[in-house]
Amino acid sequence: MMVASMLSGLIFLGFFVVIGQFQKGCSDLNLILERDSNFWLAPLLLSRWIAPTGNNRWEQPWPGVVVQPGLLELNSDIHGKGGFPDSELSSSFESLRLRAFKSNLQVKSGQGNFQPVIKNITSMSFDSEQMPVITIRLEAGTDRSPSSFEGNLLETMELSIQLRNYRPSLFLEGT
Amino acid sequence: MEKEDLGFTLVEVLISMMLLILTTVSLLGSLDQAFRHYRTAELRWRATIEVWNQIELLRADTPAAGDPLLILPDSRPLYRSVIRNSRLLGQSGWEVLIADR
Repeated sequence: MMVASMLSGLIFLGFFVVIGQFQKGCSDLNLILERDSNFWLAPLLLSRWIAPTGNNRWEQPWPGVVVQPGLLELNSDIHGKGGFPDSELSSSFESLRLRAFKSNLQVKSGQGNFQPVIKNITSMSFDSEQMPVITIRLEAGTDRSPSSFEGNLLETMELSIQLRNYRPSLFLEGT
Repeated sequence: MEKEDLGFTLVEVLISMMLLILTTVSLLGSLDQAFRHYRTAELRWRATIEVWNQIELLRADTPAAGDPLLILPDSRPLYRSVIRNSRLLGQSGWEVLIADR
């Protein structure tokens, strides 16, 4: 009877210890997945936003791509009459600003204000040394520290996007 | 008349302990499996980004590299390259077509 009582106590103690550890593990996994569900979308969205606005702007006589610390500005005059430039950045998709602010990746389009698009982005930097390839470095963090181990859950990523200068056609000029 | 014992017997406790051990092992096993799946997905995502970056650098290179491919007469040739990454198992590779500039 005494042995059974002691073992019962041990069982209860073990049960709560294991459930506690399991809960901590689940909580940390949830933190990571929450961070990455946003972070893993970034390459897809950035490549879709930056490439069209930045195309045909590199090495052109007009300013199109401006790289500043923590800020990328892209201006592309792609929406004129008949598909030709009209020297006016009237459409929202002709002007794009990107930055990381207050743990959010923010985007400003046209004359609007910066709007948060992807959360948990703690820093963002741009490298234009290999132009026309622009390299974007992103760092993502979690809302809080992990509970089951020491340290932080920072994740970094480097994404290259080429700003193409397209030729008007596949055929050689003058033929 | 014998007094009725309302406590757990040793056999009952041992059975409970065994059930608890089984539950614990399966819980921790499923958590471990979830972390493994996450790790695999992360590695594949990273490898995909690496391949993407390689392709962008390859496309920016002058002159264009790869096997020449003439799809129309008198047209500017295209150059074909295949990028492979050992971490992207089950994929034959990414085919990249680059126009001459």
